[in-house]
Amino acid sequence: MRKIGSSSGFSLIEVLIAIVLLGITLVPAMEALQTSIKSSEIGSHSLRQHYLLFGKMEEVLADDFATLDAAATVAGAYSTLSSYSDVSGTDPLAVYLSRYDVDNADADDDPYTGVDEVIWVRAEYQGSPLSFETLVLPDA
Amino acid sequence: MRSPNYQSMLIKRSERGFTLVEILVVVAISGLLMLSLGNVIGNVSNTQQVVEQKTELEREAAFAMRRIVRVVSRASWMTMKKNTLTKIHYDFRLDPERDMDKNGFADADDDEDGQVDEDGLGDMNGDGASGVLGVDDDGDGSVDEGNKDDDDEDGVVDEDKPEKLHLDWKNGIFKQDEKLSFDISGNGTVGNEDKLVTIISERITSFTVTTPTQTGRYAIVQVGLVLTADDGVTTTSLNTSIRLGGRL
Repeated sequence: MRKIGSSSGFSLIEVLIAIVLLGITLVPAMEALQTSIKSSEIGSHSLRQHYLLFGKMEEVLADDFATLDAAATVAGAYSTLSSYSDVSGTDPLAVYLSRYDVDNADADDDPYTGVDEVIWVRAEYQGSPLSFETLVLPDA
Repeated sequence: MRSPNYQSMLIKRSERGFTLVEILVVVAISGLLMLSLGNVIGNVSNTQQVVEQKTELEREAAFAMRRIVRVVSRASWMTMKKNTLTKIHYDFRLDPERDMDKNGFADADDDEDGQVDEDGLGDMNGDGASGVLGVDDDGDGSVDEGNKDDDDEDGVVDEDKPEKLHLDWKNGIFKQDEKLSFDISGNGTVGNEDKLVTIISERITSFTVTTPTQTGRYAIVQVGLVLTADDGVTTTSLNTSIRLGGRL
């Protein structure tokens, strides 16, 4: 008698539950798809941002030492945006400049006190982990 | 023990099959499900194609830009031969210390006398005299003797040609053409056939290179690239600035 009941097909409730389950499993699949599309877009943005930031760094490094030094003096601190920064547009590029303590002669382990004739440059794309840092020596 | 009557009833019931209405309902529901699933699969496939195309385009753009950065930042000068909306051709003078054939002399020192490019093409200082006008460059007691194109006054003309590389873009094809100072063709002589031509990209639809401008230590060159995929819709663009000779 039970065997006959089991071959009588699905009830409406069973079919509805199956459809709901199918829908529920499709949601994470679609989300995974969206995530993959987003990560591709993020990669694309990163590449573009990388070259914009690289270009900004190149422009800073093209200037002579005296000009960079003057800009570092105007900025006043390593954490203050320098005049090379351009953070107003859609690609906010920040540039920080400071004299740098290379030899740590004052033994305070603070690279921004007891500074030498070397300039520290940091360029970063605000809102992203992209950044470049380097030291500039006086012109030969 | 089941009775024979019950068994025959069971067989009859199980062999009864589906009614037309049941089949139609099943087909309709399956159709609806397949339709929505088909759409999803189609979208996934399309998206995958677009993402692949975009990724490939970006890889190509990054490769092209890396090449340009490398060439510009290692060149001691660059000369514009053509720069229009559809064609670009620049000559770059390479790192004077480069020694690709590993013979102990810089490639730009063709006469292997330890001096680089001291007798380049033509009258390099344009004074109309061999060496420097009015100067006994080789210390032999004679002033400005010989051919005006003999810039080192050693009696041989243009024996120290500068090492140059050409970047060329037209019809969407961007290539690098590099003349070599050694016999790569294996024909026993060094000539125009000894060169390396590299296709860097075939999908650059817009290419801009600015004239180098110098306000500080280095001149800056600004470069912009737009690549378009085969579908004509997907594009990617890169822009940057490069110090001319910044890596020398």
